[in-house]
Amino acid sequence: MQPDQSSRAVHCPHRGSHVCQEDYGNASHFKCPYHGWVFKNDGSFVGAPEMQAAYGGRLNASEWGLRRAPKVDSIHGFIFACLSEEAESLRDYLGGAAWMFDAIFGLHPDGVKALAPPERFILHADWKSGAENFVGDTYHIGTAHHSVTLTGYLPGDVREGGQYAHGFLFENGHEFLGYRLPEWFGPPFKYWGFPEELASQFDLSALDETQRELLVTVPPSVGTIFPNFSYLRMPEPPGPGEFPIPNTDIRVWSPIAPGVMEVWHWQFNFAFMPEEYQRKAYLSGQYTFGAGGIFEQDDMTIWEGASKAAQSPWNRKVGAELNYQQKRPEPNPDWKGPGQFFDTYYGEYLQAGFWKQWLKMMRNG
Amino acid sequence: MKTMLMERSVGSTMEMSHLASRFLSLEAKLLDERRYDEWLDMLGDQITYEVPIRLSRREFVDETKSGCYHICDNKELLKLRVARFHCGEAWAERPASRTLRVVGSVLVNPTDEEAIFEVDSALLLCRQRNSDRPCDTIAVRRSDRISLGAERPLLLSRRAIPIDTVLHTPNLSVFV
Repeated sequence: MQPDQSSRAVHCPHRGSHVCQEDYGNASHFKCPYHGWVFKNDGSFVGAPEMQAAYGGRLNASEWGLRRAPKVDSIHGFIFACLSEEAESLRDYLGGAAWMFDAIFGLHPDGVKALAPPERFILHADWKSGAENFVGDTYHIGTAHHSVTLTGYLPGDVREGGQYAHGFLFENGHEFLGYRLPEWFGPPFKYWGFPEELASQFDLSALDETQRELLVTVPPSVGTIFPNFSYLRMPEPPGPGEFPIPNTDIRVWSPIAPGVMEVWHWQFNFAFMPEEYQRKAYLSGQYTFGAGGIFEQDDMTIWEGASKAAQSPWNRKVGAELNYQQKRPEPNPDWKGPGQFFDTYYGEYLQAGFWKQWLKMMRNG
Repeated sequence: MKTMLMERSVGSTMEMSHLASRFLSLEAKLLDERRYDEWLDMLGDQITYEVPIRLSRREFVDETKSGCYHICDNKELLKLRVARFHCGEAWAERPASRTLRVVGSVLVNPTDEEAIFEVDSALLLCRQRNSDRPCDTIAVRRSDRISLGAERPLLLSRRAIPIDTVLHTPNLSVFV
């Protein structure tokens, strides 16, 4: 799909009705059900009924196509739209996070593909709770997700994750976190736990030495592209006692009202991987991080608290602030990659990076 | 002779409909009362339990694209969900949702296998959580296979198709 074909508004520029009613499929044209204005599938204006009588001639097609975001660009097939004319290019905006995208998605010439249409659900939690969590909130896992250890679903103990976690802090509010998975769970967990016969088909020739080193020591596990695009790739067992396989999870935390968000949740995998393997990864990904996922379901109700707290008149009156006071570490001075790399995840420097960017955007527009 | 057969057939259908409705009502009651272990005993060991993701499409058959699921569990995975509720740290259900399951529109059809029936039903699940908002409604139409033989009846498979393309509940930590 070409970026400029997929990023048009679906509202008719005439009266605002939806011109596309279906979630999925192909169409050569879209016809507005209200007055019959017609658009090509690239969004350009084709025509309207009775143009001569109604408008005295043909409407200017260049003016009346479906509205297009001023800036649209893609990276590894992920299409990003920006509503500002002045914004920098996507790669510039991502900065070091683009380097991370390359290390996560740029591992095979066939690229990655969505395994299914997105799962969507609405909850009364603020979008920032999701975005902030996915910058690398390892601190919550030992409590919020302790059940996966108590029930024996995951090997090891999730409370130990902190010892193996490292943060990657980039500019513009983008953050990632990785675990030393091979050290934590054993050598099969370099490359996130993709089995040798698949990992050996990765083409790492476009990666630099630091990226290649990461994939076998600290494969990046979660991350947030500011503001509300998050990533997760963790090995999860398809069933109790089974060998974990990595799922690749992308979600967009879409604010739809104050304190209310709609989660768009996709699962991806490398296109070259066998269908049966992709399906197993999809199902274990849904079992853990879908709307019914045994990780996800707890986060979703836990996050409802912050949006309520934010609406509390008492909290507002006293200007209540939450606690972000973990001891800040220094970045690793020998880091060769972009941004900053930390030897410990403790310190809430990732969260601070996210919130600083949010504050900057809110203050400066 | 013919009449007798028909009568028997009618009687059998009514009996099976009654048994199936009773089975589904009991299941709803157990789940509403959070008697999960007793619920698990109503499930066949080879059960497939599916909640497909539904899309807005023109044709009904296109709405549940094959292989795209909120939930797709076998018995082991269902047992793990229940074990999680018992472990005391499944925060999605602490405190547990208070639920009311209304089962209706029950249709029973025989299959080629003796004592195994295809049972269609509609489920309206009202879910009140620890919240000051009105309850969430989860509405699904279910296609089940239920064994109603001499042994204890068992749910052999379930496919529960939600009406929502966008779920209006924060998670699916309740069984449908």
